[in-house]
Amino acid sequence: MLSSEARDRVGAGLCMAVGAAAIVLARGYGIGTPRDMGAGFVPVAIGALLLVVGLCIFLTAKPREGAPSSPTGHHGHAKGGPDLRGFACVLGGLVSFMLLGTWGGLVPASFVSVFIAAMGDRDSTVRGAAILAAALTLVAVVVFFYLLSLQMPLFRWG
Amino acid sequence: MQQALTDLWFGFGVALTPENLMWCIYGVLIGNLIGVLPGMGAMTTLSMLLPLTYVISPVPATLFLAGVFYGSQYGGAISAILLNLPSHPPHAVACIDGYPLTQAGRGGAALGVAMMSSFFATFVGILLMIFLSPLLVSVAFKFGPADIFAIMMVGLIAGATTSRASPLKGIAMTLVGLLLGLVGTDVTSGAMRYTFGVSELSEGIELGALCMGLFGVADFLTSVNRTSVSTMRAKMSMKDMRPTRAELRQAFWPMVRGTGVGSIFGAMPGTGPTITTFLAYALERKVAKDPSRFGHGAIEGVAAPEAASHAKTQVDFIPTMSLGIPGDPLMALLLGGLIIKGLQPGPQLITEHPDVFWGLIASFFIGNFLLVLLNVPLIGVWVRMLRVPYKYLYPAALFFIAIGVYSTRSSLFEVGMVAFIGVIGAVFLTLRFPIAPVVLGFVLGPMIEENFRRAMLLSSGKLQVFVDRPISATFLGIAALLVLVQLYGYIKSVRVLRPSRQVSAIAG
Repeated sequence: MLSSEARDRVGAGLCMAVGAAAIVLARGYGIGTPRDMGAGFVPVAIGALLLVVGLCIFLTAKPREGAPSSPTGHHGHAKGGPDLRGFACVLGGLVSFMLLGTWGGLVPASFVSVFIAAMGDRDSTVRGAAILAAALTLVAVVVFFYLLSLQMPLFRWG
Repeated sequence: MQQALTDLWFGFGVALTPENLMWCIYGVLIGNLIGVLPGMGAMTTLSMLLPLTYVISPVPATLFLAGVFYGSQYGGAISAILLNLPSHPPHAVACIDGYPLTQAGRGGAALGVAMMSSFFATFVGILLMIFLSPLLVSVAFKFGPADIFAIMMVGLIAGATTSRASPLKGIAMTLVGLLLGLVGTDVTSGAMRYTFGVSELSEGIELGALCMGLFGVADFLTSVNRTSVSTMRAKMSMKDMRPTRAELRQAFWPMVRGTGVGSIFGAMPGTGPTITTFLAYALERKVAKDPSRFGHGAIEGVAAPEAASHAKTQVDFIPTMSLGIPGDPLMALLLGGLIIKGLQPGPQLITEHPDVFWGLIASFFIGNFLLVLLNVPLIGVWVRMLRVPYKYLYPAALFFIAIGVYSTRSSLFEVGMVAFIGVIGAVFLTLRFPIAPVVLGFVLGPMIEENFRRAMLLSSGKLQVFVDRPISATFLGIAALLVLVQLYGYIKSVRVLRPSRQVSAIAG
């Protein structure tokens, strides 16, 4: 998808943006002097460093020789961007856990979130995902709720 | 030394009473199990189990909590190496070389080496602890804030340059981590920083959410439907689970070196197992004959950090127990547990409650021995976990992450947080920026700021204090050296590339 040079540039750009944002946001915290540091001293310093380092990365971005190294050592990893369905389902699983945990309780939250997450894989079947979801919900109730006193009611209405 | 041996004997007497032994075993078992489960870190577990200890007396309570602590360390290595999911920040380093080893089918061997290194290091650590306690306490007093700041700088730079990507990217990621660590309430001034008005962020980003988001969720986001099936279904025979002679030989010196690093840093207040593992890894890379192997499955990259982490943990109990200075959040929790039981950690703990102190040390021997007995035969079982098809594994892991992260603050906000951080992590992964340094920066950020502030306060704003004090100067010197070495290596690689650019410019 992106060449290694472009990746470096985008990443560097992001870093510079974060550094700049850090500085801008921190100016309201009071900078003070080294002797009498305000809350903003260190944030501004780090933000400035990040800006500088980001700039260095941007300027030194160059096409890399040889095979591109994989991010975490995965082989056969992320050729191009992430898979949209998988991405959406993983996120969807987490978000649904959040929503149903608030308005449903542990049992619905567990079941639905696992089901959605599992459906992200193209090889999964509705039945397989449902069985997995049920199994994990059982684990949640027995191990986390009863044995470990997890602070979430099993069912919550409203 | 004679006294120490007598005390130790006494400690064994305490630890081997049926009640204490039972709690020690419980702690170790639960800790190991929890450590294996991705998403449930030791922090989470200890927090949930702490109330259990209210009803039992101090000695078994301490043994139990400590057992959970290092039990989860053994377990944490398992999920870090086999599943690339560090449930405990120091294991983030073990993922870097451990996971590629798993993908190459050598996961069982990597685990074997990790166990071996852990046990060796723990053993050495315990011995050191027994015989060096008085000495270490006196040295610890000499460290002022400027010195601690300098040590942390070395840790940061070492951590930033351990990544396979360019050191600049490592530094950038460390800085991002530092910024993330600043989110929340500033301890000194009470100001809220980078919280955007969200009250749940007033205590800062939760460590578990950060780790699980960056490593676990980010990994799932980018891997679903993309992992090559073959590596996950690798056939595991018993033979594969034993490290080969060659691998053992390769791992021996890293194990020893890692133990050394861990022991030295264990005594220093303010350093946690996370920096220690990064430093041990960086050291191995520097002394290796072929540094390019690191990151792709170098067994040294597993042995050294594991040894360092365990040695550090053992030795770390000393300043925690005798000075009341915890080296990392887990120790702080343990300390909190002790205080609740009415035990005041500090120099008087050893004299007023020798049964707690020496019983604890004796229980380390027992507990670690148990863990090795437990885990070595079970390596096959853990590895078989991999046989579970990925399509079932990742939703389960995600679920454990959600529950684990929820339970840290009993707040569903954390689940949203881990999702958000996961997306950020996925972005960095796709851009090939290293994410491990973010964790390091995050953990060290607040401590660095605090020590810097104190140092400046004590020196009335003069920056020379860092060079004036001998300890601080030494460490800053090391840090500068590390930077120079990196620069040198970088300039060399640029020089090599330049001729080929000129050639293509001429040709094209």
